[in-house]
Amino acid sequence: MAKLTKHYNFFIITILIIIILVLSIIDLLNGSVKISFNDAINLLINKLDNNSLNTIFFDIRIPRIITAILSGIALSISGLLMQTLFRNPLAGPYVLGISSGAGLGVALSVMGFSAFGLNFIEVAGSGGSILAACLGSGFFMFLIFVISLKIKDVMTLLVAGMLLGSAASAIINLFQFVSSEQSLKLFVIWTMGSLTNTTWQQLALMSFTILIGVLISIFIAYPLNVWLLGDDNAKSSGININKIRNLLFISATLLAGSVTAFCGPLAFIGIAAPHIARLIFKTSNHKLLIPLSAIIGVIMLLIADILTQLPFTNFLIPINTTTSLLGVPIVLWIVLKGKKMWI
Amino acid sequence: MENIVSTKELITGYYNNGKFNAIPQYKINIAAKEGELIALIGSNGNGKTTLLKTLAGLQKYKSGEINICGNSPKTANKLDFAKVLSIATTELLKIAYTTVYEFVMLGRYPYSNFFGKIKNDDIEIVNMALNETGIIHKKDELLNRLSDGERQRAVIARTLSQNTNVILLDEPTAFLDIKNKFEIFNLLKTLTLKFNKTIIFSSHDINTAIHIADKIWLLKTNCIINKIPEQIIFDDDLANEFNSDYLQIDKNSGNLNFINKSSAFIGLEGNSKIQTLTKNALNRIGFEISSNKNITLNVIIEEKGNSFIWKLNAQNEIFIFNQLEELLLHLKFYKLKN
Repeated sequence: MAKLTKHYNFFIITILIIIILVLSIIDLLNGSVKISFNDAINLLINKLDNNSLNTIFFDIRIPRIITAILSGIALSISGLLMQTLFRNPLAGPYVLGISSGAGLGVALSVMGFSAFGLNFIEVAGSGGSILAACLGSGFFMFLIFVISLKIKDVMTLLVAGMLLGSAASAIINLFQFVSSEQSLKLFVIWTMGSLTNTTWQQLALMSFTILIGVLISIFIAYPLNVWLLGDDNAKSSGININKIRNLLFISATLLAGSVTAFCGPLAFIGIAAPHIARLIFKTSNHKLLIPLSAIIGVIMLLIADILTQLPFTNFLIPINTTTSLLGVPIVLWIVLKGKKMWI
Repeated sequence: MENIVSTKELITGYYNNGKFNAIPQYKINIAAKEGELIALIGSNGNGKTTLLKTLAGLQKYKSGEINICGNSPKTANKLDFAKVLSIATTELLKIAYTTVYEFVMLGRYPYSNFFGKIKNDDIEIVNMALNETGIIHKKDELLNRLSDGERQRAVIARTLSQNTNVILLDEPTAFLDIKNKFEIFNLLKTLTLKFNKTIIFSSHDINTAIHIADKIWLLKTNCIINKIPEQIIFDDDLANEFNSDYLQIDKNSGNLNFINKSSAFIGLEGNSKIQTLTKNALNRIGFEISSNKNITLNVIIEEKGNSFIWKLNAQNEIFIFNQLEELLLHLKFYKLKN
């Protein structure tokens, strides 16, 4: 970033943070039960003695906001890391089939074991499905990476990702066919995505895995800037590429895997957020892009969450639908922007 | 003076499915001293890039030894090695939003802590590198907005900011126009003289390389030659490697010349300064100059004030031309008819 633009950037960041605050408040008050701003203040300072409102506010709304913020941070940073790894602006957990991998992991843990009369979630707890989702997404990311070593073409790689995604769906279909009705329902609801099903304990676990993922990403931000110049340039600068790549894998997988495990596959935030960040701040520096993408990701996810509650109705749209509606135009725009597939 | 770069019985190449393919098919023994500008030349596929990448530790080698300022790329600590040798490969830089300054600053990686805190001496060295390469006026420009020549300067500036004794450049003047090409060559020369750096660059531009390089590493199909350019010309090494039906090396200057195939003979008279140019033009359209007096096709150049006229005597028929171009056109038709 040039010197002149520093004040400009500071100004934009301040505005974005104010937007996050406003959106959080709207999201907090919005829902099937409307909460007024005054009630919210009173609830916060313990002055409102209304048990049901109390439960809705502290056990549903606030966890939902925190989940939205955490997921926004995690998905956008995960997307950013994948775009750097593949040197491809269209890389992201969803399009590369990595979310499908997580889905396969969850399907296996939720339904696969029920086919053998076991309830995996009961056996291993919610940590089990995080683990399953992370293993699934890590495995798929590894597959895609191996493919990307052979295929240099951006579009072909995306097709490969879609193929992997369909393979995952095929196996998931098989599980659905043999699983019990109860776990099938559990899984289908999971695929629609939701920010509302997280309890405080799950939130603690999710925060922990995301914190580790984010810390790793900050730790490798500087070498990633050099790596963006290409493998040869990075190696000749003294960077241990294998080490950085492994750390990137762990970080991206933890971030995408944990969100996907709890909230389902949330599409397109991972691709779109880093792009908007690059576009607004005109930088390829990861030390800036990591926090900036996270901010954009949080804003996108909060908007998507507000949109799930259709105004003036009681209809709830699955969050996966709203994130797609927000993200797809941006992805289309990247594709249409033409040949300069640079990040 | 001690060798700063040297190899002993080095076999380079690449691994393919666990099997090693040697490129070239012989052992490489070469050396370079401090402050030398070395041009690595050779035909496509003879292993120029492989050799550069192997010296830089980017590519594995089968056997032999490499010594770069007392370090081997195989065993040296990567960060320490990055402080003695930097390389710019032909790898494409596909970054959207990095300025020239940020790009050159990335050359400071081996000297910074893991989070890349920029220190005062980093700023000093980066500014020096930008100044020396003549790109400082574009330091806040995005890298992908630069012209090819400017980008090449930025790339060289980055290797400079890495502050190494040895700099390797893979085809630094490919894709450059002739003016930029000479400016880059001059820059390399200046860097070796001013900072005593050892710069090894590969190039297909043999004509220029033999005029500026201190040493030539000539990768031939059967051996590698390491000599000063004049020795290479004297020993006819270039001729043996590159001479072909269309290419000839001038024994005195070492220049590479195109061979025009001739299919007819023509006489040329006139002692004016335009004669050599006329001779070149006639060669180009396929006439060889003959000194045979009985030839039926003759050109006589006459000076007329400040201009020239060309008299063509074709089987006793005389044509007169005021322009060389007209003469050539006429001769082309003449050749077609006969």
